[in-house]
Amino acid sequence: MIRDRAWHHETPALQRSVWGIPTDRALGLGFACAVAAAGPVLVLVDGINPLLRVVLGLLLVALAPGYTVMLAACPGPAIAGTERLVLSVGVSMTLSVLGGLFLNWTPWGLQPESWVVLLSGVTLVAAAVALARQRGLPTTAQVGVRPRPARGGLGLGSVCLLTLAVTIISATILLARISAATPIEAGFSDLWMLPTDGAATPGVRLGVRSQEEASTSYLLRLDVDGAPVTAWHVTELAPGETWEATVGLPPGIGRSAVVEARLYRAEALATDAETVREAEIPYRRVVLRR
Amino acid sequence: MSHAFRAFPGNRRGAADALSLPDDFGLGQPPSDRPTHVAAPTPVVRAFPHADGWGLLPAFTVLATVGSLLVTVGYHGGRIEAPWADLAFWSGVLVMFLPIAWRLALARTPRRERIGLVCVVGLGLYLNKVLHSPLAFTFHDEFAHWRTTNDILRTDHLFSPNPIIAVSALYPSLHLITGALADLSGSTIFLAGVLILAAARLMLVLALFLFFDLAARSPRVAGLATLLYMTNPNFAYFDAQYAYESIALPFAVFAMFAVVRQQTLKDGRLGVTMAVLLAVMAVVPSHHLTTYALVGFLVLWMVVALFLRIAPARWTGIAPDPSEQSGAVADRRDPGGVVLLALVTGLAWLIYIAGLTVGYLTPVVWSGLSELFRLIAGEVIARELFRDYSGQLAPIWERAAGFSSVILILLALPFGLLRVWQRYRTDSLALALAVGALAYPASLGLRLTHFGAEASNRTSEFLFVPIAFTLAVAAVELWLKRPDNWVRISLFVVWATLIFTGGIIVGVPRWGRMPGPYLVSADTRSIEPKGMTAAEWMRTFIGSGSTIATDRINGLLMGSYGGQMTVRYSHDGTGMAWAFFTPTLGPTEIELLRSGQVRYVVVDRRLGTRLPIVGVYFEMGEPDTYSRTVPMDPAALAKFDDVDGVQRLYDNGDIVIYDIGALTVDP
Repeated sequence: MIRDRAWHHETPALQRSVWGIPTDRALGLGFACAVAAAGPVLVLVDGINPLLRVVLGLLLVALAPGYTVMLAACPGPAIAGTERLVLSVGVSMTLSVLGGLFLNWTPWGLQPESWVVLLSGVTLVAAAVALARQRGLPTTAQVGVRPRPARGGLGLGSVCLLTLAVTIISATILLARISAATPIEAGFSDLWMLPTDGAATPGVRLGVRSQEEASTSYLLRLDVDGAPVTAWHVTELAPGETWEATVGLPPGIGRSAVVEARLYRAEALATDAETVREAEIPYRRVVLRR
Repeated sequence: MSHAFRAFPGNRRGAADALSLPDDFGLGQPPSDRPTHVAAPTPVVRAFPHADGWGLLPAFTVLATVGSLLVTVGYHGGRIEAPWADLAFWSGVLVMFLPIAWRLALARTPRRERIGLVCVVGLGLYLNKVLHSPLAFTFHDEFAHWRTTNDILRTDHLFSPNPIIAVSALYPSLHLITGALADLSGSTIFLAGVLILAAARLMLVLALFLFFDLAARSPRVAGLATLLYMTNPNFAYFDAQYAYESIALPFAVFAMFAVVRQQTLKDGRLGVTMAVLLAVMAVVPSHHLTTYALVGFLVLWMVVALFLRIAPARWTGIAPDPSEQSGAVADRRDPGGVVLLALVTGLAWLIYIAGLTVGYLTPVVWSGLSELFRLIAGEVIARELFRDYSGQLAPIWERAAGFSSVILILLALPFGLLRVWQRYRTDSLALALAVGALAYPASLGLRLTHFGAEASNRTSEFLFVPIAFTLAVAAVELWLKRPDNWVRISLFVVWATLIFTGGIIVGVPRWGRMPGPYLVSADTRSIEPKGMTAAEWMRTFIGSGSTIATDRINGLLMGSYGGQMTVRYSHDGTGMAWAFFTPTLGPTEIELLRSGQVRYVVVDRRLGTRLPIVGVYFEMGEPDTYSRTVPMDPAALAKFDDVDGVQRLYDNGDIVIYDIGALTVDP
């Protein structure tokens, strides 16, 4: 097994510096601190763009703490490039897990504020340590590592291709969402009935919700012990719309009374509520036995 | 002179070994049939600056996105039951995988491009799963983990009881991270979960590449091994769902990478050692099986390292004294301290927090093993592969691809094992990976059983780490040794593509990977508006936390979006399902429901129309589990109507909710 990095390819390019810190790391530290500083804003300020909130939140949970912690603990050039990225993401997420376990045992628990204190706090403290340790590092020339030639940036063709990829992905996600939101089963309606237990007089709460493909009219009939009590014409209920009513039951009904509500689709009926034959199969049916 | 300084004249190469070819750009470990001691650390001279280039990555990224678009068109075709749906789906999958497999097989592909390419495939396959259900979670386990996350957000604390998968709440890593993001960003659990798992998938793929790179010392092997890992049956869907294993696996691979990397570092060990500790401690509260798999592999590695220390030199070619230049030097490191840490934290978590895990896992493993023994004894017949429990048989080409994937792995594995022994026999890590790959054939037997099939399937995401490494070594060092031989590369790509497509077919049956109309007891295909509406109605009008008895699918919906406590078994272990199968609601059924203090019963009339695709309507242990030949009796489902004391509260045509509290709940 190898004991050095001779075969490896990610020799860091530490050439320019800001205040004695390699430029890329100075930028990284500054960015991580900015994300950490944005943490309290996310929690305390309303009206922030939702997309920005998600992006900042993700960076605070899955990148910034690990980046600064790894930079504080591994300030040298041995860890760079992909390895630093993996270690940053991995340490961030593991810190979130272990920090979350810790927060669970505190009186504050897992609230947004406690998450901000934990994640922003770790990021900023580690950034301070990293800053101190980075400034004390010898330059690449001093450690005898030949700096890597600057990596070529993406050419115009590559940028165009990546833009095309982003466009295709955006279109794909949009298509998938539209496709998934399109109903593939027939529409339906809900009917419910609940006793109004807390009320002074006995009664029931009735509700109809339409999830049909188009506006629908219904006929709803309420019977007690088989005798009609009342009926409603629920007209033109639009898809997603709900109709509700609370009905008092006739005084003096027995303890074993059967309260039954039947819902009919108006278009399927040839008669009015009062003349709906018992043999007519209701569209929906709910029953309370007192 | 170290090979690290060797420069190649462009991309042309001579008879040198594949490992030292431009794939490594002159920076590779000196290849040799006889392992040698590695030279002291030396500064790197970069003979090939273009090795850092992105190469054709942007073009292959565009191809992969076209693949995702085709897959999405296939999903839409599935929803409208179009005959071209499968063609579009598989075209998309192949457009995503095949060109990148070809590019990774080439010797001249730069390392940086290889890293980019494996990320594109890994994230592309993850995106394919997200595009399957882009509005909400619809896979079976996702509802359980949604519930755990929701409980954390609701209570600000961990370990609320989870009625869907009880142990879900006891392994809260995924839920903690998702909850943190949801708390900070104000996003839904769905969006937060999708983003966290995307970050985890990126970490998994990169850590896997770096781990293989460290183990094989070849970016070419690393790239192909990472690609081959993605052919495991669970990579495309199961390990992309919102479930605890989807975060545990990246943590475990990250831990393994950090352990190996920490051993190769001189400077900066403190940071990577800390990463090792954090990773191992994060795996333990993430997922039970992943913890045991990680501990198992670390123990295996330790045993192999011990073997290398005590084995006679003539077996391994290792010189007894490292200073002796005539022989190779054993890799004397092992992950001893990490094993101890993983064991102690794993046991402590099991004992003090997650004691339920034993009762959760034992029946699954025991049922599978006992069925396997009975199968060997000829007492039972084997499960028919590629046929679901409603009787539908997969198309012949899917069956052929599924069998081919297993056979092709089994055929190539011996060559990989031989090559690992020849090349890496002084390296305890590489040898441990090869030994781990031997478990694959043994795991296949359980696939023939009804109860053990899932357990067997669930081993693949762990076993494919060593399998992928071993196969990649075989591919690079034997089959693709002659650089850029088009015929050989093409055959390799076909071989890898067959394993990949077979893996998807074995991992998820067609009804599971393609969206479409409602099917009875078919997990993701049974999630539709009626069930979701009923669950939301329950939460809105009845409130959360009521005890309910219902079938498998409505149990998921009621336990998650409904916020209810689904009761599945009585105190003596009898399944509530038995109360649903009898034609009448008699004293026995009432007593069973009463023993579970069930207040509400949710009945889905559609259960009486078709056989259950997954083999059960409710739970394992219900009447005719995995052996049903006729659908449930509709009269049995209608028996709660017109019973004194039973209130029929809600009706949406297929789903009816009854209040049976007067019969079952003590006043």
